[in-house]
Amino acid sequence: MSGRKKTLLKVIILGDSGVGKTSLMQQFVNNKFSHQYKATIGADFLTKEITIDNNKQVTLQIWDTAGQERFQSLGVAFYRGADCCVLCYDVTNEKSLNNLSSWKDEFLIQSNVSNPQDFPFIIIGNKIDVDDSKKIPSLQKKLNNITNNQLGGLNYPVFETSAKDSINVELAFEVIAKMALQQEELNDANGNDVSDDYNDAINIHLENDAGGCAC
Amino acid sequence: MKELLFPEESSGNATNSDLFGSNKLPTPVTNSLGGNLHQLNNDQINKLINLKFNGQPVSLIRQLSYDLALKELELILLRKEKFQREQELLKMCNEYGNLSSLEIDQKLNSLKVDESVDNVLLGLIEHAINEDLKNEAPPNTCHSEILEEESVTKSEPFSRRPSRAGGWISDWFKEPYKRSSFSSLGLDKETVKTRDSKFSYSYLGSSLSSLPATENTSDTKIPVELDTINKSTPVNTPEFSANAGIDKYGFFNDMTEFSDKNELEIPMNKKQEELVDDVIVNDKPKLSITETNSLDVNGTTNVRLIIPSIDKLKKIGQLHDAKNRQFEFKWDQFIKDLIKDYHKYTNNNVQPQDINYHSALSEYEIFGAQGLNLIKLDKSQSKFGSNSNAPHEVGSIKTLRKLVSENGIPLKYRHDLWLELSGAKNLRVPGEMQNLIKGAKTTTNEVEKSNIHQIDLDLHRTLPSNIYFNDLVNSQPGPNFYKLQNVLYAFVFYNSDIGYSQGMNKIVGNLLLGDSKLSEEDIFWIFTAFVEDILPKYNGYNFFSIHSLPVIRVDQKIMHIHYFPRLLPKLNGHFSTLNLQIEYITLNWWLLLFTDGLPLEIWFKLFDNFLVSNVETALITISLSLFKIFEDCLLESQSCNDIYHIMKNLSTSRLSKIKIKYHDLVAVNTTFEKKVSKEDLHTLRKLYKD
Repeated sequence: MSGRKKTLLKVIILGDSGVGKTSLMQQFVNNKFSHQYKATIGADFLTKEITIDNNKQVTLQIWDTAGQERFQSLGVAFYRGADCCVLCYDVTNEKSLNNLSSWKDEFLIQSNVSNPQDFPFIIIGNKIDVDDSKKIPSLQKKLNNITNNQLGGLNYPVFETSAKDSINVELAFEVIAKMALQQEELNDANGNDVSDDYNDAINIHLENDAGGCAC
Repeated sequence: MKELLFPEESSGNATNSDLFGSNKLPTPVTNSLGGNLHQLNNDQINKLINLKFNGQPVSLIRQLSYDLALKELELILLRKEKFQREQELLKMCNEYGNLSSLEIDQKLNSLKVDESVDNVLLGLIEHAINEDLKNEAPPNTCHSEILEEESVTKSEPFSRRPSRAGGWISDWFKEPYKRSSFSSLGLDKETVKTRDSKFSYSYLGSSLSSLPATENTSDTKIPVELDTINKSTPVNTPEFSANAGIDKYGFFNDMTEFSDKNELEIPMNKKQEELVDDVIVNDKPKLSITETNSLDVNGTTNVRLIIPSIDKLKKIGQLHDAKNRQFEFKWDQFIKDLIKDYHKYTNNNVQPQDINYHSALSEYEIFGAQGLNLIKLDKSQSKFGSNSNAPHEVGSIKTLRKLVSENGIPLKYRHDLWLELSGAKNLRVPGEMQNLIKGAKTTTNEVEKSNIHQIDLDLHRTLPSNIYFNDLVNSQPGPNFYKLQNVLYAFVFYNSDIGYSQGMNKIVGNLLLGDSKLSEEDIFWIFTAFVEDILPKYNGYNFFSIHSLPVIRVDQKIMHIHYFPRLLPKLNGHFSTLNLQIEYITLNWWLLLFTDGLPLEIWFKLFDNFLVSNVETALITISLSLFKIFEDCLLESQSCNDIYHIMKNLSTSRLSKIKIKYHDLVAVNTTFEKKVSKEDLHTLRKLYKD
């Protein structure tokens, strides 16, 4: 067997309070949904190993962050070393959609990534399980305005999900993983400094590491 | 019909003795036992056979056997249910072991039925008659059934006999639960608050679970016929028995999200401690469900294993009581002396025997915010010459701090002392809260509106596993949900410069569970005074101000880079190797003031300590102490993931078996306190600012 190195990918989930960041993470990692999540304070993360492109094993370290605006300044502690950023909004909450670009800007300022121009972002519109009447009116048009804006718009992949009914969650995270992997490889190729104390994803001990790595 | 039809049936029942010894079924059935065919004379029975069974005794026998079989079935179900209740109780005793021996005794006694079968039956009938006379529509059909059963069997043909086999037995089982808390529970949850009704608490779950069932039965006014038993509602529907475990603070304890547990915490001297440790360590496996869950074919329980454990639990309860009494006595003495001194100080000529010690604490401000009035009081005492020039070291404030750190503030003083030590007594303006709430609800200020919006988002996400916040049984918010809303609304309107910070919800939520004597208004002022005067200020900004976050992060860095290597060198080395950032753990602790993961019982005591100590350094020393308590466990772990999990969930982590004990926490904290001074911290802040 050719040794394949297990890759650790750090993914940050951002978005307004209550859009369902914790639920998305829980649905993807633990395949469960609860009405009883506690409000996330500071940040929290979970990890999940997945296989992408049929043969590549990666460990996703998914960071769930606090949505309250006042905690944005804490991002410095959590965003560094991220490989992909997920911008979340709630399809019933127009403000959360409009805030996406400020979440993106804030992320780029605080994460200090090397390639802000082409850093991988993805947009998730959550809660599509709710009744259509509650959804943002002419959502598609508004979403297009945000993503297709010529002047630094958020031209990123968009997924509409339901963390509650587990719709598109798996699919979205698969794309996230692929995008994150590309970013990670790019960083590796550029020899970007990852030795900073607060810089990389937390170094998780992987049991199979020793046997698996032959590079 | 003197012989029992199926003697083996009843003897089978009789061998069954359970935990509380109350399950001794009637054997042998005496002649005086009413409501059975054996009471009739032969002629009547023959008449019955002729009339209802076309003269075929076999049909009667078949009917009787069928009835017996059904009764047996229901007995098995009831036995099983009772077994589950016992299990639940045991689990509670085990997990929240600070049930006092008194409570356990009360519980056991309430279940004890040592009268003879006839007396039980007569009592039930009498009760049923009285109940029937009192209420036109009997609240519980079981009672009326017994009554009917009695009259019907004597006069009417057998087949019309309304039987709902075992009805009185199930009623008998339900009785203690009903007696203890049924009426007060759920119907007015406002009145069922924490702590002061400890006893009824333990039944909360069971009562809740029997509540819907009773409603069901009362719907069916016509007694259930024998052959419909299979279809009748079981006493405990599965979805409700799943909710049966609710602890005394109202937490659903079978929920995965459940994170607040009570500790089994018995601070005591060496000898007793060993004994208790022995009890806890050695008997835990015996109490585990897997071992006691040996339900045999007949549904009888193998309870012999449990009984010794119950005795030991009682012993723990006794030790716990004794220790608590000792602490309480110290407090009583301390407070009594202070009240005497206070009267001398104010020189109001009250004779010691005329002092009303009960009201003095709430009437006067003897302690003052953070106990600072005590310094004045001490000085005055030396002036009066009773305690010549007592140095600060032995002064009353020192005693207060010592007492608080020993075992927290006893529940009986919590109400008065939280109000006074926090400074709430001084700050409060009666009635003001209502204006503040109104103001918050009608504000046009954008910042305040966004605060209110955030509060609304978080209300549903605060203590979702606690019945007082989230009544899962009736799928509606609990009473504390609205109290929390009011306190937070009032707070953001009162302190618009601080606003709402996530984390406050959990802190206020915990405080609301502290003492039933504290109203939401009390809690509002306690929390406000606490935030304003007791929590640290950074560059003049309040702890919860948005401008404090950078300094809080500097302190985190100081804790990690400066204090961690000095006070926890082994762990520091381990974490360095793993490249683990403790900030990911500790930031959360600080913003939530340790409400996440610490058992409520310990958190209250921690809060007590905050009221009389320097919180600025305590945040650091308590954080380090928690790491110290888990040190061995963390050193063993080679996975960052596991370490994060353990430290984020503390006592509730499935990865560690460590139970935080308050006196351990205090012991470690006391040693660390000496190494972390406010002055050093302020100097270090300049150093680590960038």
